[in-house]
Amino acid sequence: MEKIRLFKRIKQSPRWESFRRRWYKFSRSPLSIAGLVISAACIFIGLFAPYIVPYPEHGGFFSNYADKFIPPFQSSKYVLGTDYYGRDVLTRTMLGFQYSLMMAGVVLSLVVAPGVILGLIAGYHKGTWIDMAIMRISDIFIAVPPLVLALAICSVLEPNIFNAMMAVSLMWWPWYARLTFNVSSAMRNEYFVQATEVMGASTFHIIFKEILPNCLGPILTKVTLDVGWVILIGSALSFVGLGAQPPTPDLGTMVADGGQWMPERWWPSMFPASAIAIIILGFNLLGDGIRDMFTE
Amino acid sequence: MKMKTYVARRLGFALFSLIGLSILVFYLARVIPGDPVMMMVDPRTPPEKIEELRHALGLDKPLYLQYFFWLEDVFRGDLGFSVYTKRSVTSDVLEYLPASLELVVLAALMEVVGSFILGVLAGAYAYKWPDNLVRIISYIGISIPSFVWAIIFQLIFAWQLSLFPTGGTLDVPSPPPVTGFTSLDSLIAFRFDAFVNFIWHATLPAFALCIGGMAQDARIIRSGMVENKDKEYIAMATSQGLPKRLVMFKYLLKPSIIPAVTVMGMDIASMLGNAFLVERVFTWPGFSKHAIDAMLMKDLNTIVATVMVIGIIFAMVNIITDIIVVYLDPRIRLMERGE
Repeated sequence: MEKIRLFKRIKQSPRWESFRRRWYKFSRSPLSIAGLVISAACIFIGLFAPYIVPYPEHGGFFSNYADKFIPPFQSSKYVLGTDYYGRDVLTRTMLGFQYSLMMAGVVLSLVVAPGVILGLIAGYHKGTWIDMAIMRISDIFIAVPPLVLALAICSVLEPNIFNAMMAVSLMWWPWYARLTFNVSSAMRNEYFVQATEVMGASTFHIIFKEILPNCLGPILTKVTLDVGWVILIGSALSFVGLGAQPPTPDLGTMVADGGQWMPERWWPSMFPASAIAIIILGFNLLGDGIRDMFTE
Repeated sequence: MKMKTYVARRLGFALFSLIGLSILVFYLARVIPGDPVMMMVDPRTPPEKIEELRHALGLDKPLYLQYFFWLEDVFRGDLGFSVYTKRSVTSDVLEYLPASLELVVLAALMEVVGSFILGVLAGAYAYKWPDNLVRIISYIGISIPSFVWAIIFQLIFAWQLSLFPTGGTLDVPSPPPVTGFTSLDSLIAFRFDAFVNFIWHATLPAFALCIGGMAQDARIIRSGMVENKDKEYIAMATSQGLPKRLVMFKYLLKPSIIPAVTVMGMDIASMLGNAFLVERVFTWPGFSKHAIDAMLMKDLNTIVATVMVIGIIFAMVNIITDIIVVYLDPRIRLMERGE
């Protein structure tokens, strides 16, 4: 009985109702649903790749020159063909999802919280020295394209996937600070914020309980879209040889590695390249759907 | 007058960011990798010799003083010595930068023209098949990274169809160097064959570089046009009997491109970053390819110079974009005047 009553209460709550409406809006768009399906599939492959790939040992130092450069769609053993070392391209591409999504996961979990908090603080104190200090410092990190500074950092440190994640994170937080600053500084003079101020609420309460919930829509949209962009930058770093190093089955590394046998043997690099495109496409469609969900 | 203060303020912010960037990069190149003197000398050198060298190079001074010495050198145009090419970094920058800039300028032109055509087409025929086609094109354009486009174009148009060269800048003898920019040099020397040949070589890399941004801008122009179409001033212009084309281009397009111009500026500025990847695929002898090679060799002076040079160009492109936006949008000008 108690459970049923609780469920009823949830179903009647305005939050549930607004979620239901948003979900309805989201589910009406076939592109958004396609994005959701593609992203979910990518995450699934990323999480379970080591258990579902046909040849898990092909992810590392492995060679079987007898099966080298088998073209795709010709042997039932290797559907997407094999590379120079006779490693299954399908296996390595699926394992690559894991590294790409790990990159996105680590970078976003490192940057979103600090970026958003700094942006909120700067937005609430708009026009004061706090705003100036935070926003001008964040400007420094966006004074060059993120890829350039990330490349520079990776090259000074030892090039590997961990340093690549750190370098991209260092470049990425200002975008969240900027976004949150724009949203929260516009909200700063709204009546509900002023009313809470008059009632004597603490700055902490105003920032996190009043302003933050109203910024969540744009932030969530950006996080979703950024999964694609972070993966893009990560694969770009690996592509030039300053991110993950061979034989790590990172998608960017595989594209660069297979590039030397172009144009006759295109499959070791074109399949990982399409995997990158599919991930970015999926999260872009999903992000657009989430954006539409939050715009009235 | 207000315009001048606006530009001055933007310049001030940019200068501040660049100074901050230089501190960041200085820290990156001088502190993180370890002791620069120990990296230079043989590990068996006696300690007195090391101290002597340290003193001679000014590396025994406090870090902030070292930074000011370095900054002084930079302002004199001395970016240090490159371990990778064994000559001064400044001459490397002057040699390789023009090719990259030419590529980015061509890509920028393509992006502006392409996104206008696609965006106006989609906006004019909103919710009809051209709109859907442009939407599909733009989703594909956004999702495929520039270096993958570069590989795909190279594979299809260069290797398979042989319509374009697979890499390099020129097949014909190069024109006498005057400016360092191959395209300008060939025009100065009236070598139109070299100019055409150069553009022919640059087409694929430039297209690979701009296609993502083009797709994005087309969508922004399209949504701007769809949004403004229902505005009352458009209805008024139409009801006064103005020709459809005039309404379209004079009244509808101008406010619709303003948000796109901002994004275009950012895209064009970030092409300098993506050029790092595209130049590598097409063996374009530009700054980015040189910088990557130097980065792989851990050539610190070149790394610092790369970040600073790109930072300066980036800041300039952003300021120019802001000025164009202010010029296009009278609302911003009025707001600056406090009305």
